[in-house]
Amino acid sequence: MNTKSFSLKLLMLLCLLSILPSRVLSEEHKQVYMVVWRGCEEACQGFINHVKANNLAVNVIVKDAARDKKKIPVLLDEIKKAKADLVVTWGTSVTLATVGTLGSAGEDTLKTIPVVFMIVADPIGAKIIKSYQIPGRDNVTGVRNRVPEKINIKAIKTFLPTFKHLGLLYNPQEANSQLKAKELEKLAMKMQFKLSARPLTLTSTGEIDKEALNSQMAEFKQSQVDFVYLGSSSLIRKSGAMFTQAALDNQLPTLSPYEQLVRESNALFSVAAKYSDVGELAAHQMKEILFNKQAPSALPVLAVKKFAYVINMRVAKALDLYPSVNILQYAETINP
Amino acid sequence: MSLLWRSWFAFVFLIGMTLSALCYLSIVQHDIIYSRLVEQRLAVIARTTGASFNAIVEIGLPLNMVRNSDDILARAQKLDPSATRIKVFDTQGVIVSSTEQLNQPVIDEVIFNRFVNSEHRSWHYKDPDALHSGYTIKDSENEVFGAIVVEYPKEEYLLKTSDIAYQIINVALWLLSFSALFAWLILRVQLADVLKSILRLGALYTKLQKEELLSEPQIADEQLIADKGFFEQQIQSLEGQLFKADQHFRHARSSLKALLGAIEIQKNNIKSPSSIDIAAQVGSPLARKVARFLVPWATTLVMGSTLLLGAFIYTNVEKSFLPELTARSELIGSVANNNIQVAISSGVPLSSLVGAESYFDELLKSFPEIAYFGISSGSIVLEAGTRQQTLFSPQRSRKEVPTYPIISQEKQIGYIIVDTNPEYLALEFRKVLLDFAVMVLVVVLFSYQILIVAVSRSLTAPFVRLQHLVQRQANSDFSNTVAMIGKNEADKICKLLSKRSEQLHAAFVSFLDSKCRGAELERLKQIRSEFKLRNGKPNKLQFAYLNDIRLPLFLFTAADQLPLSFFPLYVSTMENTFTWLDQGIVIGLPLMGYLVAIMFGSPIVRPLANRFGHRTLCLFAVIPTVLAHLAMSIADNVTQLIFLRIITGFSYALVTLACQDYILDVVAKERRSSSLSLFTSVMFGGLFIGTAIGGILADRLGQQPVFIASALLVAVFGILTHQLLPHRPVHAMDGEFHFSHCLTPIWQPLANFSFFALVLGIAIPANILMQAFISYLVTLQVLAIGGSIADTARILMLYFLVVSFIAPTIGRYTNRRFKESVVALAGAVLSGVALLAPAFISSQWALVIAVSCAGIAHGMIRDSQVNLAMDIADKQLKHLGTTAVMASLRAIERIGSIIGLLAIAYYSSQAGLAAAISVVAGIVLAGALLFAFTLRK
Repeated sequence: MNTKSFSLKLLMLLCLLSILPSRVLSEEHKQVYMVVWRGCEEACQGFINHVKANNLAVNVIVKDAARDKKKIPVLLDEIKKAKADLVVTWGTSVTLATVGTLGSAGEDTLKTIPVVFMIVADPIGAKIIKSYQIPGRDNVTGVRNRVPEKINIKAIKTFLPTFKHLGLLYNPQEANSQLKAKELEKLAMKMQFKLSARPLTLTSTGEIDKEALNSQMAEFKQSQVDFVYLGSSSLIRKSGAMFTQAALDNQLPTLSPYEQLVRESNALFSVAAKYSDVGELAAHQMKEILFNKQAPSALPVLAVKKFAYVINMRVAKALDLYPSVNILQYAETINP
Repeated sequence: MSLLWRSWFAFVFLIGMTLSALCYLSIVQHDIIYSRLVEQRLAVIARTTGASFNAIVEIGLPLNMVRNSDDILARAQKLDPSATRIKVFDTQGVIVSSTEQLNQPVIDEVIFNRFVNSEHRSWHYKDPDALHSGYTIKDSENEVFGAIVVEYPKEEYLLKTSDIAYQIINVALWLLSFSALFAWLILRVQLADVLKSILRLGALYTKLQKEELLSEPQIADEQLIADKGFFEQQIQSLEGQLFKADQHFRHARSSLKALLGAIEIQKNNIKSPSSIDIAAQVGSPLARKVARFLVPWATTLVMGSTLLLGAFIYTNVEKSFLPELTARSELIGSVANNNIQVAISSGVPLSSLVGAESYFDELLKSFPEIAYFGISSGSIVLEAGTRQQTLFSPQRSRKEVPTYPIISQEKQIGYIIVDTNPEYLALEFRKVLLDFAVMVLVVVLFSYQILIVAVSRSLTAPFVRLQHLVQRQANSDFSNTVAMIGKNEADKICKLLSKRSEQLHAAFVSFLDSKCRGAELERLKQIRSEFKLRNGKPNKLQFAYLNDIRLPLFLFTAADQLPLSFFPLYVSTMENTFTWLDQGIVIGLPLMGYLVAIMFGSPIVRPLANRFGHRTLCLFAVIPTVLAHLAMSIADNVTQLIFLRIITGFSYALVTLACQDYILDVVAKERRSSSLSLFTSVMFGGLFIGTAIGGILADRLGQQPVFIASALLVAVFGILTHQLLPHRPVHAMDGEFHFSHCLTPIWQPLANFSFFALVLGIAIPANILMQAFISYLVTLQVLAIGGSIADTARILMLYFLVVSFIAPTIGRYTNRRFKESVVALAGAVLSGVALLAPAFISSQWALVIAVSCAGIAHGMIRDSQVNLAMDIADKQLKHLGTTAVMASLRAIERIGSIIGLLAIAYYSSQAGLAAAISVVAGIVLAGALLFAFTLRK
């Protein structure tokens, strides 16, 4: 056999082999885009991990809006062109920009590509969906991860039976944060506590003004606020360390809706789900749509099923505010 | 069979039966208490772990959303490794957390149903393989979220219960063997004189059979009688009478022979059937002597073996219970220690424990066997409850031996002190002791009834029959024979004497058949009159004993009372067919139906008994009552229960009053008081046993089988009545039964002031006391002051027990020392005053005093009022007759009790239980005042 001819044939075979799998893969793997607000955090990672762990034929392409709403239409355009099989949205801002609201979805929004939202504090209040059971949108469903605020207030009352006054700082530039402030106002009337809700002072770059935050916390302390509540805001979540430290500096205990801020910052406790669990649940919804051929409109918005009462004992010690023996029988504690 | 063997078999049978009954009841009772203790121990983990879930649902988090629930369960299982698995499930039965991988996502249906139907937060379930202890998870607003169930293997429990059963049966068999041997020796030695006397009876029989002339017995002096044994006097007397009877027989025979001459006596020439004579409440000194001799020995042997077995059972049962109680206390200590340790391990300093006191307070509330929790780090940091005396505190709780150390960073920084509550333990053992005392009492009472009947029917009856017949013939009365089947000496003589009567009658009838005239006929009339001969066969004698009704009545009243302890509960589980009525009233309707049936049944009992006889009347009641009890076990709605209770109420009236009338008819007037007391004692003994046994059976076997047990007892009652009571009415009335007897206006006797005062002053208040206080208010009051149903049962049993003991004692003294009217008045005053105690003091002791005094009073009043009414009927209301007067008394007292019950029930709901009790006291005292006024007159 001619050596040259043999080498040519071998090269052609290798090329064929190298091309074939990628073609087969590109035909079988679904293209899932995930539009995130602030990079790929635990929920995003949870989604990806679930895909990997279950060996799903899915390519996850993460697109970061980097807290810039203007970027989102561009990303959506790209997604439409790539003929994505499904889009996962992270947070209220991204979801609103991606699917719009009930009855007023803009031209740029996705109308046919299935969308699964996650980390949206109040999707009904934000008019993204009609109800959790029947979303009311042809291509939208999602997951939810927050315990009702009533549970949070009850948890504070269990921790501090003398609780009467709640301090809340919210981001005036985030819809969900404003919604949460309104929700708590109503709850304050119902559950008989005083609410002091203040908008955060932001810098020109949209970041939290640290000094202003400190003075707001000092003001809370002065007005005998018993507990500070971290409102629903990705900005607050991102600046959790600064926020909870400011509260601690003023000897104020903090309830966080995000477990991460208890584990990694100085929030005293949270009654929350793990973000990774939220991502896993979103992956489950994705599986139902792409592999079990379920229409998004037929899928109820699923709630994360497991929550935990997590207490940061180092913060409790610093505040000299320990949980009762009873609470400690069911709570998870960190930093003993 | 000789008297010796017959007596021995009777003794052994009685002892055997008594010990068997005690064995069975003790084993059942041990199982109940032991299983309760095990359940209590198992409940510790379920309750304490359930408390954590309560706190979670309290903040509004559903059970299925608790992320670390598996960790909580794992920690609980570590505390009690004997728990095989722990599960938490929601209100749909879906398991939300478990200590093991599950094959099925939902809880077993039987456990779920137990959870759904449980009235209490702690509940239990036993299946063939495991014991399950559950605790319902609720928030502070009582909304149910699910339950936690802890599963334990059953082997240890089964091993322990079978071990105790084996020990008890083993000891019982030994005791039976020893008692049988002892009984043989006693009877052999003590009956020696009797046996000698019986040999003399045998010699007499041989002489009589051979027609040898009996020699006239010489009257021995007292010293000689004493030397020959205690039986000598009775035998001498019998010999004397037998000699006279023989003389009379020979005289009658020779007279008839002289008259008959050549006329041949036709055998079996009498065609007409012999009729039956009833010998009412006969006795004989000989029989009484035998009874007096045998009863104390039998009682001693039965009581002795029962008490010995009871003592053994109590000691062993106590030994078996103590480890359970200790294990529970230790488990509670471990749980408290673990939970405090969790707080310390989480980083809370010992001095900054938040909510530890309230946590301990909660534990103290849940587990009364713990008196004190304390945390010490050299000095007491925290404490809850009352510190116990060092002397009585367990050693392990002392500072020197800290069993529950608190560890922080691998160093012991303190310890938990757990003091058990000696009062609680004492109370638990007191309850156990009371339970066993009640059982021993039940068995002894039951045995005593059988003993009396056995002695009466089997051992002394031959002497009674012989002496009665001999006495008649000694008085030249050959009108009767006695049907004999026995082969002992007494029965043989009886048979021979009966044969002699028959011979005389055969000769007499043969002569009549020869159609004699003139002087011969006159002489024949003389002979007939002298020897009380009949124109036909001699009448057969049947004997009516007071003790005949003893056992049947005892069993019937016990059967009637078996469901008492749970009946309201049973009614509440039935389908409510009267939805428009208040639930409380609906529950009371079957009892109301029962009382109304008694009220309407009472007036017709006496006329019916006169017409059909007591025996027939009692037998009438058997089949409907058996069917009613059986039907109650399968009834499913309230209407059915009302109907069935009406049947049992009517039967109760028929049987108890027929028995009472039987006594009134059987005994002589001067013995009425003591005999009625005996009746009351037997009846209330039955009521007491029914209440006690019914509760135990219901606990062990469930409620339905108790009704079947009632039906069985009533069937046994029927058989005994058929066998024991005479076949014909004691005093057959001439004429037909007329319902007009029943329809005599019940208020007619009220025109007589004495009767009026008796009914209004004594009878009605006493019945209101019984129905409104004993049957209604006591139960509610015990529960209201924190007592349990078991406490209620014990207090109520006291009432029946006191009545059954007091009634015969009082009966013995009335007429002899005190007038019946004074006794009745004293009873009324006593109960009225005693009722003031619970009216003003809310304690179980006040109720115990009131109930005991009510029992004493009832014992004093019950028979006195019947005797007084009979006296009034005999003297002042002769024109109405005793039947009408008694019917009036019974009907009016029943009407009074029903109206009283309704009024008191209504008043108690308006003004409270204590006020209602004070009203009952007021009614009784006002009645006593009215009655006292008649005495003055």
